[in-house]
Amino acid sequence: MRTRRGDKSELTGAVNERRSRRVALFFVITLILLAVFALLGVSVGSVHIPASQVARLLFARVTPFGWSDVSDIAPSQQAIIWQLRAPRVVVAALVGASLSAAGAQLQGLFRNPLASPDIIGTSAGGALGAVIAIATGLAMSDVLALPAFSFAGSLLALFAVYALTTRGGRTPMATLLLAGVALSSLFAAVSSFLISLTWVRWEVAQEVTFWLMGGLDNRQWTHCLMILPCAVAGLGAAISRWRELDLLLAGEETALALGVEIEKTKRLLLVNAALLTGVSVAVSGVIAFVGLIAPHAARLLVGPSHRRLLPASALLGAIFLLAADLLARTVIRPEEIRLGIITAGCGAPFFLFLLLRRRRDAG
Amino acid sequence: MQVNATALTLTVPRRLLMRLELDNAGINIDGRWLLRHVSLELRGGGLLALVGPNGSGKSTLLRLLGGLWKANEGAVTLDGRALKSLPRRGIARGVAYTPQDTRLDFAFTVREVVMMGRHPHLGRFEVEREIDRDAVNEAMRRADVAQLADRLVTELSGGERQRALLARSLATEAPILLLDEPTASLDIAHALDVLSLCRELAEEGKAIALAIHDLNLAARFADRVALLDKGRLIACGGADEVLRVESLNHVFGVSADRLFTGDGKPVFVFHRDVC
Repeated sequence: MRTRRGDKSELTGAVNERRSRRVALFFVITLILLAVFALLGVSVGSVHIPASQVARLLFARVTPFGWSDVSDIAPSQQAIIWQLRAPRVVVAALVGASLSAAGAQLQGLFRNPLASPDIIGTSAGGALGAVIAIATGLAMSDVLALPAFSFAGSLLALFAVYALTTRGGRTPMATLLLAGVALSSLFAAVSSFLISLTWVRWEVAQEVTFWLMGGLDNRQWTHCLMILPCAVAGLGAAISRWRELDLLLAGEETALALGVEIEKTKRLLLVNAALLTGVSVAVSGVIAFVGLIAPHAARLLVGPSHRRLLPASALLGAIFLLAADLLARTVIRPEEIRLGIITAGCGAPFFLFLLLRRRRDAG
Repeated sequence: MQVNATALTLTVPRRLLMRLELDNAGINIDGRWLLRHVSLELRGGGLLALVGPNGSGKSTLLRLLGGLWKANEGAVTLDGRALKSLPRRGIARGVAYTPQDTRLDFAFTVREVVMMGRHPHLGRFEVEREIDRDAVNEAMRRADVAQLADRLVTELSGGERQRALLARSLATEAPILLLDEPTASLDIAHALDVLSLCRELAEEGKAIALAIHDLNLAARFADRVALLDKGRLIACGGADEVLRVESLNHVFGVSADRLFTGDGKPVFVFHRDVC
């Protein structure tokens, strides 16, 4: 009997080791992919720049002056790399990571794998906030107005959908999705109304419409500075709550019984997800489905525990958005497809697939 | 709140025995009393079975005892201190509540689920320590799920899942266990396993309260039986005092024959026709 137990625990050790090796491999591969896509993102475009030059210039920029000599790279190319493409790539990665981290958190919070910032109306709320900031001209006079308004919009939308759909700690899937559809439509209608009011000012209307489609053109280092602290703080706050999030997945009563301060934790996570979504919407417009796809893929690869799920989602989201942006810039060169269109084009079928699979499982 | 986190064994030392008490407690939701005028005491070394018809307040009573719902009237105290004045983690180290709903839609391994039971002992940035792993291994061994440690909970049978959740409760090392219908989804063999384990744990010093529908099992395994009806505690005491033919007739609306087995435990045969 004793020896049998011993054998089993050895077996257990082997299984654990295999799993942790797989998780380690996942993180190594995704980090490499992230670097590759970032490099590609900077080198591919209307002017092709060899990846080796890109790598050298980026290295020179992040190391102290004089470490490496890049004088052989033409100044115009240096400008393209450092002023045009590098900030765009960094913003893409941060937006992808933020939206995915927000999606992973919301899925845990609602105990519902179909929750994500765009599907339950959080993005639309953020977009409405941003449209208000642009249409009223506040965005022109103050750089912080746009992110502040879209954060407020996201927060409002998130609390509205939460208050409307959650009864006794449960959020039924159908109710959540329908409330998300209804709120998204409502916010979109108000946004459209504001756009139609600004129609006489053609440039404003064009800016708003373009921005609603989501894109990363003309992103600069200021945009990076806007999103970087929020992304880091938001992801950090979420990861520090990984045990609470795991427990919430096991059910609200269980979480409460095992010592989680439920209400405080939920409020914090809601605000956190709204912050991540709002700031993403502020720098890139509405980019749909990243927050749904990346956490799903991550869950399949590293399991449901948030200790691994949150960083894995953020990494996959960053890679996904870098790849999508690359696609957006190259498919119909020299024109660009809007990034939001690409992600929706990939994401909507994926969402339908999940929905159908769930229905089959339920039936 | 002096539950010692370093206690390694699941056998509760005498000094860790805790007393959970309800004094004339009641819960009112939307103007309706789900439970009222209930006084009850849980102490180490006993197994209390809560019985009563559907909607009689068994689950509500367990939630009240576990501090998940707050009493609108009366008091709930843990070792003389009001439950609502204690921090959630403190309550969780003393009282482990397992809900009836055992569904888990997310593919955690059994070990991960049982490790969740260590949450009340772990700080936010603390990693699992040796004593946490030991407590988890011991809990899994007791609940007989050690061989399932690396299986996904989504792939377990109802009985295995129930035992995994029991292991999670044991991993908290709380001296008081509250179980809401732990045998609801189990066949008779697994139900007997779970109840025997509860019996053993009670004899080692834990205080256990569980809701159960099967009156025969309740009579067989419990030291005390609490009979609930429409939110009131009708009777509480030994099985042969509480489970009487007249009171069952009155509370459940069934007639019953009471027989006795060789070891003197009562056994009931029920009929729907009320005389």
